[in-house]
Amino acid sequence: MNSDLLTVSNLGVDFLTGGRTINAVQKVDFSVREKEVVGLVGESGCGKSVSCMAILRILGETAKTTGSIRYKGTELLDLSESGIRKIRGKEIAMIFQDPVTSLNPVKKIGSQLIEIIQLHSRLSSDSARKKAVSLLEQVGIANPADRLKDYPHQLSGGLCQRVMIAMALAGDPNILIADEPTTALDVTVQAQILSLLKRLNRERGMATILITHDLGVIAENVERVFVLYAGLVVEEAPVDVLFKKPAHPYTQGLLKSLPRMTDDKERPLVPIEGVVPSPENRPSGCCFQPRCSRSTEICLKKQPLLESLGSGDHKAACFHAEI
Amino acid sequence: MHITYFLGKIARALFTMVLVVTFVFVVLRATGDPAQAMLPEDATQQDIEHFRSMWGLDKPLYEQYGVYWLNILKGNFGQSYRDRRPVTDIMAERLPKTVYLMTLSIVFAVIIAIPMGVKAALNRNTFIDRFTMGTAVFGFSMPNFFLGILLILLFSVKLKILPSSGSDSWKHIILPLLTTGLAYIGSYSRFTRSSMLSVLNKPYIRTAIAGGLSRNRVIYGHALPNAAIPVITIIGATVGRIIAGSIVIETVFAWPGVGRLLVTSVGARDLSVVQAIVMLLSITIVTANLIVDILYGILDPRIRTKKGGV
Repeated sequence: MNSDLLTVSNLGVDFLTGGRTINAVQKVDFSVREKEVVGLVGESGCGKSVSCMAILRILGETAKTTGSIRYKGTELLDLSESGIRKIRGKEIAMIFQDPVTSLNPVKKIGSQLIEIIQLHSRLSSDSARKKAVSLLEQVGIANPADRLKDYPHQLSGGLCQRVMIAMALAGDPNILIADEPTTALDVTVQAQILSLLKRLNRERGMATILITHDLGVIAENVERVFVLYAGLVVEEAPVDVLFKKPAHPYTQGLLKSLPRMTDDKERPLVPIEGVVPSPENRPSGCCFQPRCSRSTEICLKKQPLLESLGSGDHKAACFHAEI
Repeated sequence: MHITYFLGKIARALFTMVLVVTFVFVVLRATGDPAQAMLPEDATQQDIEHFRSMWGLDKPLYEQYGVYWLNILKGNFGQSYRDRRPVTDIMAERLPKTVYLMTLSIVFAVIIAIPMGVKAALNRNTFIDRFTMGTAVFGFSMPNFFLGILLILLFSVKLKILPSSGSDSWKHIILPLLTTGLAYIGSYSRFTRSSMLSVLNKPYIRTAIAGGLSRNRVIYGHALPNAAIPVITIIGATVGRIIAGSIVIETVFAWPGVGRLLVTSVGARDLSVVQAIVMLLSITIVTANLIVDILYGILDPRIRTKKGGV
């Protein structure tokens, strides 16, 4: 088994706004091994994007991050501003949900890409341009030399996401964080982008963290899954285990609410009753307890910890986890 | 860039100027008689008629209008009734003074206001922000003539270190420059701040930071070019108003430019001079707007591809 490249433990993120503190991430633990694709899944507001932005420390000054984020043994939270800048893009790169607005509208694709290439490699502008063309080629863009002269608004969403991926590859990073990379794109383009990410992972041996709310995307693309709920990791499992034997009632609920091709048409889709508690109104004890059919007295009092369920790779944070 | 987009803009600009000239021509003639303003009160009827026929004022209005346009096209803006000199000569003397003062004020304001606005935006809601924005509000809410007089009182009357009127040395420009500059600094820096604040939250700024760029590169290379677009509009508006904006300041500091000339010429109903200045005034506004439109196209590639634009 490969060793851990990135270990996030006990991560907490608070936002201080207008004199109030909002807790976006309570306690998140996950790890990424070399060349591995992991998935972070959960509803909007569960803290999956915030957790990943905390890794690169790009949450802004209102965010207060606690816990530990270790990359190749270095504690990222302790690094100086210039120290973390050497990690960004070079060791760990990130792409975002809305590719069109994630590119600078007043600069050409070429100048944005070349700027990042030169930042990480000290190439001359001529060689940087050549590298830009080759990167665009690698992410499957036709006529790459012409595209360098385009502005983001002249490209489709899918093309912009490919450009974003090319920019992410510019520093030759060890980890790519893809934050809902296909949510803003239509379905056919979505599949192309996901297969591109898969291919890059295979060819470059670049570990990938895929953030999504879409279990279908998780099933087809990742090796290990972390399920987040209300700022907590509630279940961790290899992807096949998660879909075959989900242990946490929340994961089970998510899977029951998912339609399948093979389903009996009569089987109703079962929604999870209730709503995700907002950070200000989290319930006592287990965060999922008000929506859980298995909840008992202990669930009202204590937040269960993420614990191993027999095999080391399958963990759940539930007093009544099904093994 | 779309050539039709710019031809359309230029045609519209020319049309605006024709309208302005016509309007000024009609209004000046409809509101009073230059013969009465120019000649002494005891002038005889004969003198008045002689004055009128000398300047063509006895002809029907449409004929005067036709002659006026014909002369303009020949580059002849008429004679000043008062100075008996061609208007173009008078303008050639006065205009450089105004352009010098106002351009320097704008450049001075841009150099100070843009870093100030950026600084305030980056330190939002801190002391730096409140202090700079407080100064800005003071700058643009203070009327020009009042601030000018206060500065004269302090530096010319009390401290006696700067002259209060005229344009003979570099010292003469300091007070008028400060007075106009401060007002411009006020509006430019507030625009820069608010524009920066809205840009700093944009996803592409997050991309730039996540890519590993330094703070300065993110701010000046990525945020400012986007934030500049609305700031350019406001700077363009003041550039367009250099003639109009010079009226008060030149009167306060007895600066011998076009603004002061306009005030004295209106009083004397010196029609040709007033017409020429108003025309110049509208040309500068229209041209500045045109330049702002073109700059938009350069700064924001999204505008260029929109057909026709607005």
